[in-house]
Amino acid sequence: MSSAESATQQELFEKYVIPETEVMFRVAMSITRNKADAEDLVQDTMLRAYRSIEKFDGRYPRAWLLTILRNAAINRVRRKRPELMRDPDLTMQRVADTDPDTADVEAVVIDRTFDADVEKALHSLSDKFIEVIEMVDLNGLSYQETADALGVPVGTVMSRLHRARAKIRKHLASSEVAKGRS
Amino acid sequence: MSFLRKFRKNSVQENISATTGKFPLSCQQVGKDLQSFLDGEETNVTAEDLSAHLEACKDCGLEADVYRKIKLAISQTAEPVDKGSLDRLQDFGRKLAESGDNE
Ligand SMILES: [Zn+2]
Repeated sequence: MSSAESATQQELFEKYVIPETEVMFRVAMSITRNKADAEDLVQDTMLRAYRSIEKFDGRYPRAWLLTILRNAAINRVRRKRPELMRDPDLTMQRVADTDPDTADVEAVVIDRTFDADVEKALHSLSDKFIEVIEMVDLNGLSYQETADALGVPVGTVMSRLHRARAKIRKHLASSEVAKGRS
Repeated sequence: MSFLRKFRKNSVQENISATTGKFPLSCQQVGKDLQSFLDGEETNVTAEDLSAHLEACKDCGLEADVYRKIKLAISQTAEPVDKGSLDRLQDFGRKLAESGDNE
């Protein structure tokens, strides 16, 4: 490879990939739930991005990187640690691990604020709903970027996300009613 | 002739109500687009019409407030990204870009 060629590759990488490091890491954290694995996954993504950067047309770098990241994640899971990939059972386990009694006490202490209610409602949802909400509201991805990261059509992202929020809203409304009664 | 005048008058009124009228769009149309609108995504109807409806219609305005608050509450649960991880990854990326993929 000539030095001119590799300089271009370096420039492209610094222009398109480096600025997306934080977003890639956030999404990797959402997928792996583990810092060390998230770091590995981003490194893997960077390597793949580096190898194919000259073929990248420069449009929507984030969407391009998230597609690479998802493929890298699928590959990793196939390769070694299926137990680390998010699945509904794991999520249920996580929800069960957060002691509901403790959570209740905390909520009472901060006077059952709206935020606490929302968080509680969020964690009552199933995995596929939490996932889209995390991608959009926590990781700041667009619908299209979320679709690329999760490997589903944009329409699926929209319907899951909108249904998830509607469920939270319903949850809040019913807890308002409950509070009014008590 | 009177038919034509009436026709023209009607179409002008429709135009006005669609852009500057008090209640552009139906609540149902707004409901379909509300979350996409609040997320800054593409909507079927214009953002101007949606904003105007949310200003004028109490029910939809309240609904929008609830969704805004839910979105905000969730975004506030975001944990700051681990600085050490981020530094390591940016370092990894820069070294990769500088020296190439020596695998
Ligand atoms: Zn309305």
